[in-house]
Amino acid sequence: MHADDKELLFQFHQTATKEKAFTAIIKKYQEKLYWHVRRLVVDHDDANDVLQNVFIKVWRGLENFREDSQLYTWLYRIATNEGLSFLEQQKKRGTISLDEEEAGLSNKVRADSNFDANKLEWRLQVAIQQLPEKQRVVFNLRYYDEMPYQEMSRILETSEGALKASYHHAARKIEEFIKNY
Amino acid sequence: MENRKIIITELQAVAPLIAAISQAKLYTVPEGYFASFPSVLTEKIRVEEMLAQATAPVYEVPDGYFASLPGEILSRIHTNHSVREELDEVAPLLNTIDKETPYQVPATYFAQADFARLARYQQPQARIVSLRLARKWVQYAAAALVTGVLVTGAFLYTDNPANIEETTHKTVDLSSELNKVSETELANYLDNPEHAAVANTVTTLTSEEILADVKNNLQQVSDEELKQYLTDNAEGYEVLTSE
Repeated sequence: MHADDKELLFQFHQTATKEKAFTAIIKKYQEKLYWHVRRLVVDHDDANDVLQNVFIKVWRGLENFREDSQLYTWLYRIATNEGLSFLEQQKKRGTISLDEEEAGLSNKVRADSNFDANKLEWRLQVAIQQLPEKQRVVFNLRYYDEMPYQEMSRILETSEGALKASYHHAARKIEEFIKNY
Repeated sequence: MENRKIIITELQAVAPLIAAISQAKLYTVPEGYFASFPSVLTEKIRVEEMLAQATAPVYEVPDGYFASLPGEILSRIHTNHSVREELDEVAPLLNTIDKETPYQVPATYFAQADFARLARYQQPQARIVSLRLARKWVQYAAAALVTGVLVTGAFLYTDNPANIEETTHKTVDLSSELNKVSETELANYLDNPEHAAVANTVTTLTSEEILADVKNNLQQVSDEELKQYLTDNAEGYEVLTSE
């Protein structure tokens, strides 16, 4: 574990410095986790709700964190699960229909005030939302967070080979979509 | 940076178009969002913990109360109240009244009544009429019609006197039927010219032919049957033997 993460955890376990350490953890990881969640749910307000839920879970669970993995691996796992749970809840509530989840999120991308269909970067965002949820997570972690397959394997609890295949498949699908968009 | 190079190289091999796309962040974030996020979150956690403490129950419950509650409720349900105890709760005045029924019963009623036989001859219960009865009657009528057509056709097809006589002969006991016919009727029958022709035909048979026929028939009759016949027709036998 990174030295500064170890220090932060030590301070968190001390009553006097618990809140200060927690605040420090939030400041260190909030942007990374925010963008990871935002790329899943698209909407800022939804991302904010999910991110808050993530850190509330961190506050409650950090006391029992066994430190057998990196802190950020644990944080990313919580953020991924919360993001996917949020999407699942939206499906059940009927906010996004079962068959149209990808289309719904693509529409959210298009609804962004800065959306420009002529720009490749926006077409990429629309294309990413066409992917199934887990494939989307894999692509985002690799493409945006530049995460090694080994780390990704610990977060998603999937073999490196499967993750690699999933990423390559996703990349080809996105490329095909962009060409035909 | 090392990771970045590896990923670019990988993407160039798999999907070169994506490798060329800029990774500039497209989505906007409200100004000051990240600066205020930690304090907003810690405040939220503090409020949640306070609320959790506030909703803790203040009233005390006896030890083991909930554990024993199901059993106590069940035992109350299954408790066998006596009729008197029940009536004491519901209508205590009734418990003061003598329970002997004042109605009179005939003295030997219970000794003579055969309830088993009465049950056998009991009127059938009211017939339950199926709502589909009308449809059934239509089906029965159709079946009866078809049967009638078939029977009529069979009857017409088989309407042959010889066949009828043959059928009749198979089922009728000639001797018992003849016994039913009186002598007067027999005489009238023989007096009929049409029937006389038949009789003449019979009488043209030679005595030897008749005797042979009688012998043949008698051989088929057992001794017991002969004795019985003679017993039954004793008067005629005496006449014969007296000649």
